[in-house]
Amino acid sequence: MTRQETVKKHLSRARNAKTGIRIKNIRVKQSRLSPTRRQVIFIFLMLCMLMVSGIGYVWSNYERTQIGYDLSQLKKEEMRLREINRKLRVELALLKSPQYLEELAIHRLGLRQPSREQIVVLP
Amino acid sequence: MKIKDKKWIRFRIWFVTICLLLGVTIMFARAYQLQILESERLTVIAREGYMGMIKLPQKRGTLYDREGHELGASVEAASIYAHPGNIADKAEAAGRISVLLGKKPAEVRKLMEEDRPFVWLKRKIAPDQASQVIDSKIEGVGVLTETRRFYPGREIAAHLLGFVGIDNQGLEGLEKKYDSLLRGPEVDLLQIHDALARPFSITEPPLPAQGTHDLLLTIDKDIQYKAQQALKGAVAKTGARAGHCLVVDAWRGEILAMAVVPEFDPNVFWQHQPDQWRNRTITDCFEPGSTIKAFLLAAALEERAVSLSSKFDCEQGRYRIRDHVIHDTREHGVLSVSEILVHSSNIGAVKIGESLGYKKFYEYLRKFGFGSKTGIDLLGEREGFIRPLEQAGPVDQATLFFGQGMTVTSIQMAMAMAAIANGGKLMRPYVVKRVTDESGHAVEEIRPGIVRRVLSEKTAKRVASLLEGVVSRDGTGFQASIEGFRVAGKTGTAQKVDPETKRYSDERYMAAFFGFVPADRPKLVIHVVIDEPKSSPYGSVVAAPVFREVGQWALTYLRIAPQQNLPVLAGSQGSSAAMGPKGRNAPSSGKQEGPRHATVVHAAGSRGVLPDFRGLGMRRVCSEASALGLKVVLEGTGVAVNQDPKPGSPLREIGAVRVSFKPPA
Repeated sequence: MTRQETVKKHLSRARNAKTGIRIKNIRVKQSRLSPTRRQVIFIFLMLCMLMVSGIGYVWSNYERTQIGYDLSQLKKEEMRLREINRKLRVELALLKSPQYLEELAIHRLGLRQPSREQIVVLP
Repeated sequence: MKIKDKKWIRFRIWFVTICLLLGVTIMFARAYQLQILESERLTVIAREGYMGMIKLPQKRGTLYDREGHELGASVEAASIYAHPGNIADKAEAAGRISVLLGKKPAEVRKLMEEDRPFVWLKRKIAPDQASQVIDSKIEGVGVLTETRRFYPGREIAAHLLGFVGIDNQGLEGLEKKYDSLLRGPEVDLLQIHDALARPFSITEPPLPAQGTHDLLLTIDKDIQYKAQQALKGAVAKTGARAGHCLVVDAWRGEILAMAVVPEFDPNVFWQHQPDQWRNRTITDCFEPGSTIKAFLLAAALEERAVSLSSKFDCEQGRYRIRDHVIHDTREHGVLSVSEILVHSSNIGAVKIGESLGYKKFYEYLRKFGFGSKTGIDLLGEREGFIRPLEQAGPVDQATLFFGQGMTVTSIQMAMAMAAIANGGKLMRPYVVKRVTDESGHAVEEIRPGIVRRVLSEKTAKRVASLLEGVVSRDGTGFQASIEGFRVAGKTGTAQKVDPETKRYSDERYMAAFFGFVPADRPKLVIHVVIDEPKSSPYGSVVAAPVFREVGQWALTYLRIAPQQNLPVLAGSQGSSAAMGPKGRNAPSSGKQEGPRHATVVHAAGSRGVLPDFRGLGMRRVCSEASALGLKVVLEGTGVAVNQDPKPGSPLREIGAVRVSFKPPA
């Protein structure tokens, strides 16, 4: 086959001989995107869920931060109260110390040590 | 399309591709640089932006008494510091801060002039002072929170507890001994904050294995206080130099009180002499004197060298050994073993010792724990000294039998006495009962430990009954007797060695009394030593009353019912009848109980029928009922309004009576 013939044949196979534009002649026409009703609903639901979970995520993050603020405040409060508690315990121990009680009992209340006779042993 | 156009298009495509590739490469390179090469540095910078540290003041465990009352606790206190480099006008700042802190301006100025980045201006100040400093906002001056040790009982058990230094390090006593357990780690809290520095997350880093621990002691703060009071009173009264008193649980070896005079306040320990800090009960060795005779007798009885019926000639108060003459305070003829103890005859003791032998006595003393540490969980314990056989000449041997030529500590004496009290077991003394972690769980529980058995139970009982004789009316220890209880004990008076002449001094004495109570079912062992009393050298006069005072108080406090009013044995009378004769004489507690009514009650009781308790106060009902040998169940408060069984029921059929009380209208 001469070269000219080869060119001709080639051209005739893929292009319009006149315009030289390549044409695709497939028998079965591919359908455009045309989803069914169910698919539409499904996709819509999916989108909704995505949105909701997104919002949920952001909201929970926000909430977490807020709780974090509260928590740190409470933690500080806890430490403060614990310290106050400790101080009060020491103060209580000071007030309950034998010296102080004795002083109060003798000088303020006018009490004295019981004599042997005043102690009644319960049977 | 022309060839030229095509070429231009191709060039542009390549150009864009290369540009894009170059861009991507640069991006990756930069990412590599930031994420990998400089990641550490950048992470730190980032973290500083949103993370902060809160430095918590270093904690220190609490010391509790056996009932959980605080004896030593740490509370937060503010300390003022300065960064001298950051203070522009030092004179002005020093002037302002000195007013707030109550210090001299020159003193503060001097601190600020120091060439250091950080100086403390004043540590552990009052909260209102601290807030004034914060409000004053002086540049370069700040407030840090630290912890401060506080002893609410002040002098109570001070020698035992010890104290801590300014940096919370234990310096003396239990604070030092258990420093590693008490001292907490330095904890920093991690805090994440936002751009406005508001924290929104605080995390506690995992605690190191070693946290702070609390200690529960065996000390009872009330008994301790009473012991200190009684001892202080005695030391002041006798003009003594010092004194110590130990109260020990006879069966468990727990120290209930450890009193030392002179006292000090650990809150302001620096205001006292270091000499006053010393826990003399474990660090001071002294000659036991006559008190050792209790152990001599125990050893002799255990070894069957003597029996209770043995008699010894006490040579009318003079007994010659080689060129040395041993004296008694009073002249005695032939005395029984128990009389030797009761009169505390030195010659009698030498005779008993001679039949036992020095070697055996030495062995027994060692077995009683003398000459070695008791193993108490405190620092600075001394072991005392006993002369071994090889080093002891004949005179040394003889004098050891009445407690000369050896030294002991108070704790050794108390524990050895406890061994006689509890039937022959030498216990290990201890002061820390429980170690708990921060959440209150017990990490370690200390249980009583038997060191060894020294005596058989039988011998221990016999020695106890002999020691009871010492506290009888004719004994040397009569002043230690406690009404309603049987007391066993021994007095001791030891001459001290004059450090200058190296001979026994005629002026310096050590007066001691130790014993246990109640003698038949021992509970408390009490050891009292008065060092160099001026009024009288005798343990019977100086130390025994302290024993009585502490013992009587502690027994009432521990609710141990008195047995009877006479120290003489009278079988096993029930404690219910014990207060009988006393109780009847008890003063009436309510106005409504007239003498007429009391007569009615007595009359009814003597007729053998249950009296009418109605209208009587609770005290009266109790004493009346116990006089009749009845058990009483009390309900309510006030005046008796009802009783079951009814008045007039025959006493023979009644064991207990239930009485209801109502407050008078």
